[in-house]
Amino acid sequence: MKRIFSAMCAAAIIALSLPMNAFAAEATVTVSNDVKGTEPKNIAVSEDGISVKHLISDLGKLTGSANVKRIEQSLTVSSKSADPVELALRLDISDYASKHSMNIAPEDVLDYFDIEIKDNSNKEYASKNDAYIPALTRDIPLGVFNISDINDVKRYNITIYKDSKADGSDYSNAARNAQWTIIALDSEGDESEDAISAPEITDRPEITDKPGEDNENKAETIPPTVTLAPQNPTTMPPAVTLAPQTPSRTTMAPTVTMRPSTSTSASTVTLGAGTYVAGQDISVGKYRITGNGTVEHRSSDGVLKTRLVLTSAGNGVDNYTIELKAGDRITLSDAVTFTPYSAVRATTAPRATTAPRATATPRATTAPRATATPRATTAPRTTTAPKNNSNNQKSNPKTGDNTPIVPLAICAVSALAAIAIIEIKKRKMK
Amino acid sequence: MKKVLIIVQLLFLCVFLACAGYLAKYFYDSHRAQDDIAELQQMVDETGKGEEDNTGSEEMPTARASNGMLQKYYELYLQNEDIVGWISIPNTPIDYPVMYRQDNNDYYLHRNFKKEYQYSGLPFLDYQCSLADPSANLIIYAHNMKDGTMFAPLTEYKNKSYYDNHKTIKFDTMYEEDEYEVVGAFSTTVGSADEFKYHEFVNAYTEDEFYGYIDKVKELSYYKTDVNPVFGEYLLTLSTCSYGSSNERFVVVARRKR
Repeated sequence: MKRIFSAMCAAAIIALSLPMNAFAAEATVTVSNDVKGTEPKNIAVSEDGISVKHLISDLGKLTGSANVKRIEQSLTVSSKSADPVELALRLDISDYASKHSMNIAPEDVLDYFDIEIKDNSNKEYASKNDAYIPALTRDIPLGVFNISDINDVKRYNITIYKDSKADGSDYSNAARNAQWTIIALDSEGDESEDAISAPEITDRPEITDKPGEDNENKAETIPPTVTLAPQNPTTMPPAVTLAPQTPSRTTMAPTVTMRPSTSTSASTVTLGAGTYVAGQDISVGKYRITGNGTVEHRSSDGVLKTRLVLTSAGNGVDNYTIELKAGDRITLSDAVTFTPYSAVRATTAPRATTAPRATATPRATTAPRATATPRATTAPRTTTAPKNNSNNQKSNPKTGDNTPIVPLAICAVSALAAIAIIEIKKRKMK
Repeated sequence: MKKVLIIVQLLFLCVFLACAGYLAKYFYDSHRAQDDIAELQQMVDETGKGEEDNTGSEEMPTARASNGMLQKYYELYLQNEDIVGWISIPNTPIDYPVMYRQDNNDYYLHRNFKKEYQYSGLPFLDYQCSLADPSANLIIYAHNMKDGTMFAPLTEYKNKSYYDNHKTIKFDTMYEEDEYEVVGAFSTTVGSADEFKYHEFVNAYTEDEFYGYIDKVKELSYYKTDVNPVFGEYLLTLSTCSYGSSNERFVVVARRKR
């Protein structure tokens, strides 16, 4: 009986695994918008996909200075394959990030885009409010093709929004260079370790600082990619919600009373796991931080400024310089020592904003990757300089050709003529 | 006396050799620069022509590399990542790659595509401009070479008849092919009291700024055109030295075609 049961289980496992393995290793795919298309390309799992960036007509406007906040594009994807194949739209910033230093965390660049994808039957593949784990690539599954037909076609209506928090040229510069490709997913539906499909939550919760509430007890957000040490029970509970995206979040309510800082002047202090507010729990100023675990630094309105991994064990950054302004929040997963710089800029009055910020603060500050070596922060490759530049020598270069061709030619001819005349005179003298 | 004449002859010979040698080197460098450019042009032409042959259909788009760059420029990009585009004016010798160097408007003033010293340099985008986050006004500089290369033909735009026959300027970025139509052409002297600082106009944050620039261009222009840019449109400014006076610049401004 046991043997029969084992055999039946084995057969069931084999039978169940067959459909998963029946997904095609590759397919011949073409993509087109209403005006132009791509050449058919064989795309296979773990290989290059088919670039569709040029088919999204107004993508440049979304990342440009035209203040366009939303674009729409229809794409038709055709797949020819004998077996079912799952395709996805991949956004990828890894190539650009590997070659260019940025003032923002590379993993946050793709947050520039909020994408909504539906097909003609209104089936939704991606929603504008989907939350994604920060990563260098983002895959949006577009469904399985060729389930019952060797030639399968699907048409998608794509709406791409510029995220309201993604302000500043650093973001748009980087986002502009994201690659958009159609790729084939493996049967697990996830081709790469970096690709994270949208989690089930669809609405971003709002975090508002309401008057009178103890802001320390507010649920703070820890990105799920981060491994956290056990939270200090005396600080905030480890709620797992993502940062709000709506610009109407209040930053500091006017009736919030700023508690005295636990360190009245900037002095070396070691903080345990938890979330701390600059100006309340730790003095404002510039610090060199050392320790272990993940450090997340957000501005008072929740905009991520820095995320890094500190470690004394050698697997992260040995130390990092951080500047805390009043209202900034610093979240630690482990003990971190803050050593003030000698030239600390301390504010004497708590920050009192009476109205939410009308525009999102640019996220661009120093944001090294969480690797063993601190990333040097350099200016983006292309940038718009201040309008008034009085240095004419630098900005209006001399593009003339100073070669005195005519004078030299005259000189040469004259010298030749003189040589000839002298030669004639010499012969006459003979 | 005879000895004196011989010495004088030798001196004149030295002068002749020095002048001739300098001129020979100038024209040799010019020839080599033109060969280098021709090589780049050939790469672009061959890649573009090859892709057209392979598409088999006029409806097929321009071929692209896997990173989305236009395939015809991708090979050049692999050789030198400072390339940001290609400028050409049909029926003129102007047909060159455009380079870019962050915070540096001097690098390609006297460097070729291989980053070796070359007096004529290459056209380059002003460091203040951005293609990723497109500036309202892209400014490209290049030498006005006496051998007629680089932006030397640009000064022909002083004549209305030349403009009538060359109204379109092509500037491709690495990702898009674009055409521009000439708005105006003018001269200004750097450092003079009435200098027009066109090189400082990169982005227009208000309509006033934009139309202020356009109005000035039209005011100084050698002739009128019927091209009238609207706020929000993209401009292309080509700048080179001219030899009317010391520190004079000749500038052509164009608007991206709608």
